[in-house]
Amino acid sequence: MLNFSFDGIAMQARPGDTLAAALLRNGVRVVGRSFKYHRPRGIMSAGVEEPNALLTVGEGGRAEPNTRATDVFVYEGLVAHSQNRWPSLKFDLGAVIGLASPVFAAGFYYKTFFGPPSRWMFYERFIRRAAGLGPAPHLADPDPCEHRAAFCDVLVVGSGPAGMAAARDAAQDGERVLLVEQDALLGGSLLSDGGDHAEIEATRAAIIAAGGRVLTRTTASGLWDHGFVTLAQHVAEPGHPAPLAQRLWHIRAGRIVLATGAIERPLTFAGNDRPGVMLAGAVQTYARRFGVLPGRRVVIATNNDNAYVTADAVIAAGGEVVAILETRPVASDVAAAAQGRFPVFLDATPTGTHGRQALSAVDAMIAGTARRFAADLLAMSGGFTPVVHLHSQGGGKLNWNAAIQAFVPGATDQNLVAVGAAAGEVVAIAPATHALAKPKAAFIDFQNDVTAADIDLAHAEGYRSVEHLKRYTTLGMGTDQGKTSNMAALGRLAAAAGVDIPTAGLTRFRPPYTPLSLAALAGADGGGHAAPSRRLALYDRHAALSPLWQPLGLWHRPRAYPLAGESLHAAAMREANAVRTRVGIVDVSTLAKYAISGPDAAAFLEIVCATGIAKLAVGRGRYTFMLREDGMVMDDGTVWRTGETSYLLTSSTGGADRMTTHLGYVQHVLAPKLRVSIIGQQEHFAGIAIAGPLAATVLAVLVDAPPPAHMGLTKAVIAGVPVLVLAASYSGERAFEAYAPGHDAGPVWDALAAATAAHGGCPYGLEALEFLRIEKGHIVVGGEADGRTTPHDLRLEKMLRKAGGYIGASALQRPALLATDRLQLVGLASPNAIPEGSMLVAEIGARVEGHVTSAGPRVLGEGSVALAMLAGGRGRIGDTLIASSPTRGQHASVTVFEPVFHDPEGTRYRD
Amino acid sequence: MIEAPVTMAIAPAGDIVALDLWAGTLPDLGIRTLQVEPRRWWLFGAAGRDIDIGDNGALAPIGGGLIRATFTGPGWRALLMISAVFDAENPNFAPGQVAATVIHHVPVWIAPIAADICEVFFAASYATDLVALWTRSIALSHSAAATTGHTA
Repeated sequence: MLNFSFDGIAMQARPGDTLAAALLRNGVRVVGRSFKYHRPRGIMSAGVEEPNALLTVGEGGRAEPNTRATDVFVYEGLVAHSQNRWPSLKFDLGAVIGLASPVFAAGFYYKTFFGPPSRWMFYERFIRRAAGLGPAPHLADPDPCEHRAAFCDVLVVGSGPAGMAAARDAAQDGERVLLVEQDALLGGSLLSDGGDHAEIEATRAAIIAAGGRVLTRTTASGLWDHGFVTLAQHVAEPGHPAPLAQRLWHIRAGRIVLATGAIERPLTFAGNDRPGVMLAGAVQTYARRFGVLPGRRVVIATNNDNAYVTADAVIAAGGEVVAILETRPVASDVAAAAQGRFPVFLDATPTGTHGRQALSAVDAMIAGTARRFAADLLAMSGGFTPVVHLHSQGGGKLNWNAAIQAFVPGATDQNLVAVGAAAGEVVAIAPATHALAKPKAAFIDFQNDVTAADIDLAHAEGYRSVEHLKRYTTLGMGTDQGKTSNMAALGRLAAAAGVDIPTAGLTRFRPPYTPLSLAALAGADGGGHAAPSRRLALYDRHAALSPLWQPLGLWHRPRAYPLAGESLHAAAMREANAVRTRVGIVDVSTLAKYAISGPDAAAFLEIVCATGIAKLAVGRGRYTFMLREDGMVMDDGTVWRTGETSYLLTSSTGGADRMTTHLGYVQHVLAPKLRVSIIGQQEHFAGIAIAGPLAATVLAVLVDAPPPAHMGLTKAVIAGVPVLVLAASYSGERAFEAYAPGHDAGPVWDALAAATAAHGGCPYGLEALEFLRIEKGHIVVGGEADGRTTPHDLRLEKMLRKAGGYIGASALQRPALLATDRLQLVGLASPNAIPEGSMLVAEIGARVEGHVTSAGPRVLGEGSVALAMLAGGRGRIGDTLIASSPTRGQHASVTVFEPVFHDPEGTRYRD
Repeated sequence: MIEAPVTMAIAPAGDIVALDLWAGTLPDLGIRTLQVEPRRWWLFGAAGRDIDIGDNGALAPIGGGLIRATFTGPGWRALLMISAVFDAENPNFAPGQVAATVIHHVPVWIAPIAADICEVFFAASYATDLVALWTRSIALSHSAAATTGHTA
């Protein structure tokens, strides 16, 4: 036996028991309180359709609220708690709401809690406390989940007799087969129909022997386009400590067989939600599969022949069938055959139930005569609804089958077939014809406390569409998504409207079929953002300096290297000061880099880049930028001629993926005949920039060759590692970029760091880099080049290749892009801090004339400088404006300048 | 969690040069090659060799930023289905073939080199997350027999 607890009470279960079976075995009848009225509720079903028995299973971070007791298997030490009750399940103060249930009819909230939004926020606190499901755990789940892909020729969903046969046949035909079953055991309905377990096992073995894969505790939760199906697998039971809790499968199936069975429907009558009222099939399952009879004196109410199997199961389990209330006025063959063995009453329906917290008696109307039966279990069967959810999710049509009073799978564009009960092979029923007594006490949606009267009221108030009805009453919402209620509700709505059910309509089935935990959706990404983190080749070197890290896309780069007790700003100012006065080194490895080679390499680059390329001498480089076809600046970087027919192109970190796509587009679509190779080298080279008035001196210490002139390149060896040295400056100081193979770059950094330190310098991070480039007026992609700016806007027009021929050239001729009142790059200066992102106005409240794109302190002087986009900016030099950020309450008076504050002549980066 | 055993070895990819050919066919270079795109090959151990491809293409080193994961054991196929989108379990995916795909959001190249051995190449910057995923999955496979709560 297995030990478990429910609401703190120790209990025992048999191995293989669901929690529901175990609770019934221990005599538990009330397992929860209903959503709205806090009515006592018991277990109604034996499957995933269970609307009532929602429990919190597990503790701490493993706690899983709203777990269906019918869909968790007991393990040693399982801890379960009831929900939505206070102070206890037996005595719930919330039940007082039930006394006022006539007031809380459909649309109560809409009719009552109208008014200003602020007032609704007040109401909401109380409403949420009064109604609801189990609270989500506050702690992180310690057990991971994972995602896994699988491909198959045939996916079979459901392992009942039809599914097993389909899987076996496909596997034996040599197809890759995947059979999934949400239960822990294969067999489906066979498990409670007295199926041959040996035969089930033999079929399973045959599937596996033929190369098929079988997954249990796995629910097909979503069927999407083109045979894509998501499966949720309970690797471990909810709340059970395990190395892996759940797995979300991504299945690509060539063909799908839906053997998903059918769900039994409740009957609608007053008091049908009382604990002790169960689905007949569930009673049969508990009796035959689990050896638990949920009651001794049993009334069966049915409109079909299947309930007579339940009667046999009750007798076999030692129970007594007090009465069979047969809706049909004329006995079917099955009913007639049972009349000798059971008290069968024709033209009979249940009309009410009695009992404090569990069933003690059943009222019935039999051929116009009222009777009462003492009973502790009422097994009801309103017929069977084929599980068409996946078929419908995949875009399949649904057809109405009047004989079974249910929708069945119709045409579909997917390679999909439904078999067995899912295809409508279920017993016929007699539709309800009796008038319903006490509709306010007759529940249709048990989980949302929606009664027949609620549906009547909603219809009377004009909610004729089934979609409107659903939203007004909450019918079919919640964790069960109306699995047991939809057809009864449609029948009620159709009756009210005087139409048939297909005319009344049907709400759309949406994934997931059963609730899916957020942990399963997150998979291995739990605990952080759902994206990988990219590490620099020199990560260990930086980490040793305990930097402040800054996320930049997927990358994490040092923002600054604070000394003990130093703030970010102080550290960045110290680092920037070192670059302006001595020397610093910074990791620039993340820049995009491309080796562009071939006889047509220059021609290719002159399509991509808007600047001149062809005249670049070997060993020289230049700044360049690339445009989109609409003429807007897309990215910028440098291009270096490394050989007669070879170039190195760099571009921004953030635009690397976009640039790779763009280059591929140009190569394969715009210029497919060019003999050119474009090979990404972003991570092949780690890059270290050395900047400052002593940069050339530092480099000279480490390499034999003289440092290249500005925008020159040379090959050298640093610390035994071959490097490519490019003389380029982003800071405005004399600077070089040393590119070494990523795996070998550590010693290069060490050597440069040591030499830099020996000259009074230090490493610097992105914050200092930002201060330096703003002073120099260098734009950044994403800041000034924000996708809406042309080269003219950014004052780059003098660099445009006059001969044209580059992407975006023709677009630049559009008059609108040459208008003088466009937003244009300017510099701003202020004695005070300039709020980044602020808007530029002549006075507070005046029309917005521009915005601040980047701002920072002057590195060596007082006050602040900024780059900004200002309407007609070129003609506004000397103007005084206000940089205003009302959301932050920050404002600064600024003066408009040319956008270069440091060394406008460019003398500092030339020897 | 995977069903069959597999071990993992991680190392820098080493000397790999990318070769693009815009004309002609790949000559016999006497070294290991891997065709990763219709007109692109990776050459292993090409450094220091005189690779003569005439005017038919161009070469560029890429190995400095690549990691090579070598998986040994029949479980490599299942392992490469975790957080993945490519059918590595397809028995027709065999030595000599290469799949350029994504695992755990990371671009990878999968190259089976024997029935029970497979290499996966990826950018070094992604190594931490990707190797952590595989390490965890392999560890889970070792504890697959641990109790899961299923008693049925």
